[in-house]
Amino acid sequence: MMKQTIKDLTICAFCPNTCRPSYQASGPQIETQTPSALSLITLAVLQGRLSLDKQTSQALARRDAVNASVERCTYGLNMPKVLDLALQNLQS
Amino acid sequence: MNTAVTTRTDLQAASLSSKTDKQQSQLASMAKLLGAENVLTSQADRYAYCRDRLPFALYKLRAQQLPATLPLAIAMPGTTEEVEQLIKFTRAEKICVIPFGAGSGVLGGTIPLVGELMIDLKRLNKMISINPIDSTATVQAGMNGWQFEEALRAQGFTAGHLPQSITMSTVGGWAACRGAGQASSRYGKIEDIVVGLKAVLPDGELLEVRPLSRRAVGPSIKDMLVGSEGVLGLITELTLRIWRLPEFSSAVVLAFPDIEHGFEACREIMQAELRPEVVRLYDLKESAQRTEGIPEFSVRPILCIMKFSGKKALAQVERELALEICARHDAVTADNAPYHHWEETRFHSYSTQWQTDGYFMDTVEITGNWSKLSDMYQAMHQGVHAIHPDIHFGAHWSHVYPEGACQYMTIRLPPMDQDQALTLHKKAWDTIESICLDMQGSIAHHHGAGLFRGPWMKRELNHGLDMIQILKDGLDPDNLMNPGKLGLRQPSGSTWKMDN
Repeated sequence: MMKQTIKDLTICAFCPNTCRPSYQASGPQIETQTPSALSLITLAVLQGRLSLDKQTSQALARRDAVNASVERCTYGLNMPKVLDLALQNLQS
Repeated sequence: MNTAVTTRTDLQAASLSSKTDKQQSQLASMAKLLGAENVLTSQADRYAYCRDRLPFALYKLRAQQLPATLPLAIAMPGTTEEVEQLIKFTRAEKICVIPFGAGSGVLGGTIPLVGELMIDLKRLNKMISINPIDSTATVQAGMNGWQFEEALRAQGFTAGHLPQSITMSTVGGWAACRGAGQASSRYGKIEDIVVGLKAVLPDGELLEVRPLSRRAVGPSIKDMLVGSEGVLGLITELTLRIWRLPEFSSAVVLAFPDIEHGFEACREIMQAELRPEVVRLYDLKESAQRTEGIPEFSVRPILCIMKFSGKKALAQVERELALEICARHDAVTADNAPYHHWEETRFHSYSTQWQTDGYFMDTVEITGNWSKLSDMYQAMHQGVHAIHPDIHFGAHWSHVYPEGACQYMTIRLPPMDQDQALTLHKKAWDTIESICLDMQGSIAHHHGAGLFRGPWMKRELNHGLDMIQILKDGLDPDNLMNPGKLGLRQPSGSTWKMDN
């Protein structure tokens, strides 16, 4: 299960956010909230390179863009679900 | 130079470095200027902005290393006036800055080398006006490319700039990197499409190039910014030429016996003053991937896709004349399936799966003249294959002109030891760029120079690089605006080298 989650996170982290037009133009325009950036950060946390402190948790909680990406993912991934699975694993 | 920034390449080590009192004070001032919510300082945010889509950077991230450094912080101005104030502040405080759009560049143009401040321009994302009389659109630099094109289409227009990266790039990024779209053979590259702009110069003053079709008042100031990648100023607004959406379009798939026949046909079409919207000629390897099972390609294995558009009567004549030229070069038409596949996937990114699976994939695009293109292709093909027995090399030509064409190459090394791969990857780049220069080509057609093309910029531009450096030194004496890019002087404290 976790192996597939890490693979999905890796695909997303290495994708240049082809889902980008789905993000609200009127919303916050923070690169960190893109699915690719959230995946990159989550991988760093899973690898123990970035601590899941308050600030990192706040960054990972910015979900507007990743929620909007679901219908537009080139690879058919449901990234909110993948991120939730990864974070659940971290917290368990 | 920024003080007390980390130049360590490991994220854990980087996280140990804390900001100095001076930096804390600077960040507080920026928060006051832009609003605290528009200045990001957390480790996670800085990590998200430490890269663009330079494949070399991805290889480093994949190996759990930083591409270079983390940025100091991220500032997100919401107006041109805020950009002016921010640049005046960073100049006074001697803080290095990097303009950031959507980070889709593949040459490392936005990678921080000495803990620069990233200036994310995506809050500047509004369409300002569409002028149907002058046939122009004025837009803020941070607007998403696809959202911009959709806004134009809603009014019956197109900018004709449709890069593969259109969904993941900004209009300002197109101009900063001097990009090209897939319809460039008809509409031109971005430097042909941008007719005016506003940019904040390194001293914080606003430069305006009023949107006009042509002028004769010395060298083009517009062209000093279009392609400058943020080293001479920060583009905040652009006016682009726009066109009525074509009333008609017609695609055709052709099979040529070999590349040389394809080159000759494409050259004749462009020199006959025909304006196909799309021309895509593929080498044997890239053709085979797209034509399996189509009978015409068993004898004539080279794929070419063309699309004609515009006023129906004119486009039909252009198609007819182009097909006559192709027939004279032994081409036959085939099923349109390769065209439809390209149309469905034209804005996708092909590299992600390969990079995920541990391959070392990259793309290199150069410009060559027709008189040299065939020899250039053969020399690069042989040169790259000599580097490693299992290296992939494929090419296509999708931006064609009366004088020559862009040769777009994909290279891919199989999974292997990282150090070995980086050495071979560098060798492949050096082989391609050196052959290109030896054969009088240009080392970059539309991806820009960024960080990664630095080693070849002197040969590319000769005394022109000195001219840009002198201009940079005059405008930006402290080397604060995206330092170390375009082959210009590295910032103090940078340890960047191609092979590090």
